[in-house]
This record gives sequence, structure tokens and C-alpha cells, in this order.
Amino acid sequence: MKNIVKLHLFLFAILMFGCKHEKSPYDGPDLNDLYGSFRFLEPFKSNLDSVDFSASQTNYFTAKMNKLVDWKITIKGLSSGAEKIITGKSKTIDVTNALWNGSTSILPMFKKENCSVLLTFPTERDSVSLALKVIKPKVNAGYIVTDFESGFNNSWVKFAQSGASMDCQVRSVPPVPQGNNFYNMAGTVNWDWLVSLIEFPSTANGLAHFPLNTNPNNVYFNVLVWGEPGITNAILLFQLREDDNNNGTFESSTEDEYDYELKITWAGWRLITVKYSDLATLVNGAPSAPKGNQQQNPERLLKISALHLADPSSGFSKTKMDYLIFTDNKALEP
Amino acid sequence: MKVNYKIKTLYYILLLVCIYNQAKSQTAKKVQFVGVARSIMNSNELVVKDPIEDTVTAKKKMGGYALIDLGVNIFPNKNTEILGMMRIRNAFGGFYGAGVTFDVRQLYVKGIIGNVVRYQLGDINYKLTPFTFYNHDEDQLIQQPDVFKLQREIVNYETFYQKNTWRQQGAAADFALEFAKIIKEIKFNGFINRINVTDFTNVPDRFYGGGNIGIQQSKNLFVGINYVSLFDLIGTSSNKNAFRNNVASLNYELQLGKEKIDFRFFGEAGFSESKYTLDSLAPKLDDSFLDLGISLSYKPMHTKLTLGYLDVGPEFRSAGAQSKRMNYNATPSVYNRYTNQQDLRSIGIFDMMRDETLYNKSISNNLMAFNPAYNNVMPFGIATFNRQGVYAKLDFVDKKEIVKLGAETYLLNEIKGQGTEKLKSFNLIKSHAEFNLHKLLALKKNIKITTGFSTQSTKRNSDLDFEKINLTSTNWNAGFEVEFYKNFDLLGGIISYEANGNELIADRNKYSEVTDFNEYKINTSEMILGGGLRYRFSDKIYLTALYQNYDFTNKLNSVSSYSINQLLIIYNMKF
Repeated sequence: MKNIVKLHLFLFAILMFGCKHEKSPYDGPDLNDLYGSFRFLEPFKSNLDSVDFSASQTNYFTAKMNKLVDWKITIKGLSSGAEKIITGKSKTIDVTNALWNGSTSILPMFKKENCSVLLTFPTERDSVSLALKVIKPKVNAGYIVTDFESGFNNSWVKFAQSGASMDCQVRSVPPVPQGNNFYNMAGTVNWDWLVSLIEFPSTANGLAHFPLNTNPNNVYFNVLVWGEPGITNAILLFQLREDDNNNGTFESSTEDEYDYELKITWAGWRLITVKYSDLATLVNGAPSAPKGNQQQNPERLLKISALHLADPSSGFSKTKMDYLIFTDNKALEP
Repeated sequence: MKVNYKIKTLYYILLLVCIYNQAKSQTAKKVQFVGVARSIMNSNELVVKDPIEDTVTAKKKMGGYALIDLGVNIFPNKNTEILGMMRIRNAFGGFYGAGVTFDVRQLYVKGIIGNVVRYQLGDINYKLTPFTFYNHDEDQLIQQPDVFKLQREIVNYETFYQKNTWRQQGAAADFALEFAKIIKEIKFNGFINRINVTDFTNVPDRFYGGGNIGIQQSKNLFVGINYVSLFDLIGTSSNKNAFRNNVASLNYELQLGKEKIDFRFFGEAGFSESKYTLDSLAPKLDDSFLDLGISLSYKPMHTKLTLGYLDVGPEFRSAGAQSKRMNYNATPSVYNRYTNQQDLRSIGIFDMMRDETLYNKSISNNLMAFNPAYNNVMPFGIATFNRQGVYAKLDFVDKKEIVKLGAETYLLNEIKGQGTEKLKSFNLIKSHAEFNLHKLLALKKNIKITTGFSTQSTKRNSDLDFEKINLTSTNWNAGFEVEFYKNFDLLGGIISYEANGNELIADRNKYSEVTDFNEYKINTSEMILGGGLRYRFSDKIYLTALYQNYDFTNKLNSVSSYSINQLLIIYNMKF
């Protein structure tokens, strides 16, 4: 019996000491984050009062809250109307999650202007604002085909049908997404799909070819396009023509043309970006084989045409474009 | 499809008849018919207590069925037993076979190989220990008056809940070795069940297997080693991500007896591991548990006191011991929607008592939902994870069995907080009493009074309001059974259940990790009143007519209050 009792004590000890739990503080999300009352532990601040983005200055915001919370910083250009929105979910707002490089979320782009900065929380009533000045806006890296700031270039080729209410010219009526001018394309043509077109040859910029990267996978074509509220029949067809034989002219029967067709169904300004390697040759909207060397050669691009098209039975059509720019390796961040 | 089903059923009947004839043709072989015959007729009436009259729900519902479970128990030889049981069920209102269903209810073969190894194939009722493989009692099950127990017994029969076993399909075997010295006997038990059938693409075959080695050192000491595993069989589907839940434990029992007092030391400890083999998002959950105790029996007073310490880790997962009987995601089969908005009616104690469709019949690899109002202290039985504390039980039966008393209490805490480092505390008290007055008065006819009481509370104190938890549930019942004429019983009883307070219910992802908390507030009272007559043809056959009124009151007005009246006639026969 003594042995049994000893064995029992041995088993008892094994069981007692065999039960250990690895313990983290608690399961699930912090209840304070879900149900706790909100307050700032450190106030909302900007690292700079005024910022020169053209000099690669960066601006960031800081704040500390007592709970994990969704937050939204809205920076609004007081003269341009540009908006930058930064969102996150954290207890701390700092350089890692609230850095602003001068880019915009909602066009137009920021200008030299005063801005208001508003910090809000979707689940809380609290909000806090501060002021910020953009001394100089961000300079976008890339090759600008045109931003229409110098008006109509006589080296461009323009064609407009003799339809009704035709208005194809550089204009400056707000809202303007970048600078002060854009190109307007509008009119009613009830006998043809083509409403108007404009061609931008490289020679208009004093170059034989646009100075682009040779790798089509690294080249992005960007343009800001306007969708007129209430009008959904506008189509913009971009034709990018290459000088495959390097003779300074484009021969349509023996050289490559790459196209990008855009149906404009939205309202307002929107950034459109397409990678050069994603461009295809289109004939009446259908993919077709290029007629030149059948290789995309961005460095031989010598002309860009923008055709405003609309179904002739659909009536008045209108769109606008601005800021045609090629960027390297990534889409434009306006 | 239906034709195939009927052909299949006929095939099984023919197979049974063939087996029967085969067995009968051999002399000295026994064949027994076993089974159950039952007929139920019920009439229900719903009363919705809304200020605006519910004009959408059909308030009166009649139903019922007649069924026979006909089993043929065949003994082809002295070492083999075969049971095949068919169910023929006819819903009232069906005719010319329209409401008739045929099912195979049970099928197994069992026997002994070489007078050494016992085996069973087919349907198996199995359990091991409360932390490895165990079908824990229903939430808040306390002894109930006979007027309600009759329906509960039918639910248990339908769901195969027998002595805390789970009904599975598979194979089991056991054998024992006896020794002359040091160790008296070692028993080996093993089983393997198929839980899930593969769909050949995403769902693999899932098996649940394990066993134990029970070492009976002497009449005083028993030591057991237990192991169970729920596992997906890789290769049975194109999904290579397999689930694993392994639980191992060691248990022992030491009895030290004196003339008047018996001491029994007992304990079980072990660990679990839960994981997916390829899912990088799935956590590996490992944890351990411990249950240690002592029970003292004082023979002259027929009294037994048990004291224990319980510690179940926050990440202890045991599919076989944490699968719940009640499926709270199911909806009641009668009046599942009510009010003009046709709100879903949640499961109440009346449904728990009578509706077998709400009960789960298989092992679940996920943590099943539970209702804190009915069981927040130990929703997964004694194997509930994240609990630590002490418990005590007291049982008393007097010499003449006039009075039977039982009480138990659990005082537990969380080990790990939920969304906060502050821990919840849980208290549970359960008691029941049975008074056999006919024995006291020396009457031949039965007069029995039963009562039951349970209360549970969950608390978390904090300076922060949103962390405070205070949830209390109280349940009591009382009933009587009076045999007023030979084999005629008058039955009556009442059950009351009240829940009040708040809790934060954890939202868990498929890996059982807590991802969110949902605020839960409750202030409800439920009451069932019942009465009826029963005639006992024999111990196994009765006919009863019962009337029950169930009242559900929601004091928060978040859902509508209602009551249900039920008239029920049951004829039940076991053979």
C-alpha cells in the first residue's frame, strides 16, 4: 500500500507540473480600441508649416491617440481645390503612415497655395485641423508631351468636322487639373464617328523622336481626361506612331502604330495611365497586326494623335484632356 | 433519386431477411427482434405578445408521426452479433406512402476473435475521458420533472446520446492482458471513425481515431494513457492542407478504503495540438489541462463529497470533448419564424426539451456556437478551455432511498483575458432533490416529488464601463408524479429560466482565433408549465397525454415575447 501511495504522489506531481500555459496578455482585439472613449495623447501636428515639394521636401503629420482607430487626413488646396487623402488605422500617426510628397488623390494637382489639413475619424466625433502652405508644387518626373500651358502650338495638327457647336481649342475654364490650361474637344457630328482630332508630332517639341526608354515595359503613357457630366458617348482614341525605319516620317503602310481607345463614362477629371507594352494596334476598334517591324519601340515614337470619336446618332459629345506625360517605370502620381 | 433511395432501402430489408434466414437455418443460433415503436400527436398554438397583432404567422400547427425501429439482432455463432435496424416512419397526414420514409437506423457487427480481441464494426457508441472523447451533457441539464423528461428521453434516443458517448461509424477493438504480479491487468482499446466524406476537390476524408491503455495495477490503483486524433487524410482530395487535432492525456484513480470511509483520488492531465499542415495563416494551438480531485464517501450516511481543481489552458482544443450537443446555429422546427416581420425565433428551453433536430450528432472540428444565457461557465463541458478554479460535489441518498440529493459548484476564472488583461470569474451552483414519498409512507403506488435549481454568474470588474461584465442565469424546476390508480400516473411540473445581464461574445475565425467582440445584453424569463396523465402498460411501454404551456418574455423588447401551448399524446414502446 505504501508503494501505491508513493506512486500516487509521483503521478500527482507529474500531473501538477505538467500543466503550463504559454500566456499572451489577452485574446482578440483590445476592448479599449473597440469601446473605449477617444482622446488625443499628443496633438495633431505637421512637421512643416510651409513646404517646397519641388525641392524634394516632404511633409508629414504626427499625432497619438489612446486607442486603435481609423483616421483620415484630408489636405485641401484652398485655391486649386485639389485634395490629398491619407487614411490609416493606428494609435500613432507619424512619418511611416502619414507622409505627403505633394501628390493629389482627387484632381486637380496642387499649386503654390495655402492648404487646410483636416484629421477626422469615421467612428469618432472628434476632428482637428491645421494650416499648411505649398510654396512650390511637386515636380513630376517624366517627359511632358504637352500641358497646354503655352497655348496652341502651331506645329500641332488640328482637324475638326464642320458639325454643330464645335469647340476644339485650348481653354482655361476651371476646373483645370494641372496648371491653367487644358484642351477642349466638343461638337455634334451626325454623319461620322470622328468629331475632331489633334496631332502632337515630336518635331513640335524640337525633337526627331520623343525621348523615351527603349523598353516598352518601362514606359507609361499618362493623360488627364475629363468626363463631361451627363455625357457618356465620348471616345478618345490615342494613336502612337513609330518611325520604324528612322527616316523622320511615319508611313502608315509599313510602320507600326499603336493605339489606346478610351470610352469616357465618368464625370470629372481622371488620370489615365497605360503601359506602352499594353498598347495594341487597332483597326476600327478591333486588334490587328502592326504593319511595321511589329516591335514596340518607344524611342522611335514620333507622333501622338488624339481622336475624339462619338456615335453619330448619339448627338453632342464633349471631353477634355490635359498633361500628356510619359513616365518611367511607374504610372504618374499627380 | 427517390426511386434509387427506395430500391436501396428494399435492398437493405432483403439483406436483413437473408441474414435472418441464414441465421435461423442454423440450429442453436439465436435471433432477436429489438426496437422501438412510437406514435406522437401534437397540437401547438402560438401567441405572439406584440402590441400589433401578428397576422402573418400561422398560429396553430398540428403534427405527429408513427414510427417503428425494427432491429434484427442475430447471433450466427457464439462469438458474433449482428444488428440491423430499419426505421419506417409515417408522418401523420401522409397516405398511400406519400409521407413514409425508410431509413437504416443502426447497423453493426461485433464479436470476439480467438476469445481474445473484441471488435465492433459499423455504428459505434464510444467515449474515453472527459477531456479526450466525451459527449458532455446538455447546457444547464439538471434533473427535470417526469412530465418534461419523457420528451427529453425521446430526443436522447433520436440523437443516440447514451451515457455521454458519441455515435460514430467506424471500427473499434479491445483486448486485455492479465498478469500474475505487480500489475493486475492492462486493457487496450482502439477505435477509428470516419467523420467526413471527401468531395475529391476541397474536402478530404476526415477521421477520428485513438484509444487508451488502462492499467489496473490493483483494485486500488488505475492508470490510463489516452490519445485521440482528428485528422484529414491527405491524398483523398486535391486539397493538401490537412487539419490535425491531437490530444493525449494521463489519468489515474486511487482508492483507499476504510470501513466507513472511502477515499478516491483521481486526476487527469494532458495536452492538445491543433494545426493545419499547409495553411500559413493558421496558428498552431498548443496547450495543456489538469483536473485533480479527491472524493470521500461516508458509507453510513450514503454521502459522497468530491473536491477538485481544474485548469484548462486557453488554447486547449479537443474536438471529441468540445463538440456540443446543442447546435445554436439551427432554428427550431416549429414556429421558426414569427411576428409580422417574420423574425427568426431563437432556441428556447422548450425547444431544447422537445426538438431533436436542434441537436448535433457528430464531432465538430470548429468551436461550436453557444448561448451565454444558458451556459457561460462551461459551454464545452468540463473540457471548456480558458478555465481555472475549484469545484465541489455532494451526493446523498438515504438508506431507503426516500431522499436523493445532489449539489455541485464550480468557482472558476479565466486564465487569459478576452480583449483585456482583466479576467472574468465564473460561478456555477447546481442542485437537485428527489423525494420518494411512497417509500416514506410505505405505499405501493408511486408518489414522487422532484426539484432542481441552478444558478450561474459571470463577472468582470473594471473601472472602465465597457470592460464590465455581469451576467446571471437562474434555473429552477419542480414536479410531481402520483400514481393515483394502478399504473396510472398524474404528472405535473414547472421549469423557470431567467437570464439577465451583459457579456461580450467573441467572434472567432475558422482557426478559432478571436477577431472581434459583440455586445450581448439579455433580460429574459422563460417558463414551462406542464401536466398530464400517463398509463404504464409495463416498464417499457407507456401512453401519455400531456399539456404544456411555454412562456417567453423578453424584457428588453429587442425581440418579441410569445407563448406556445402544446397538447401532446405519446405512445412509446421498447422491445
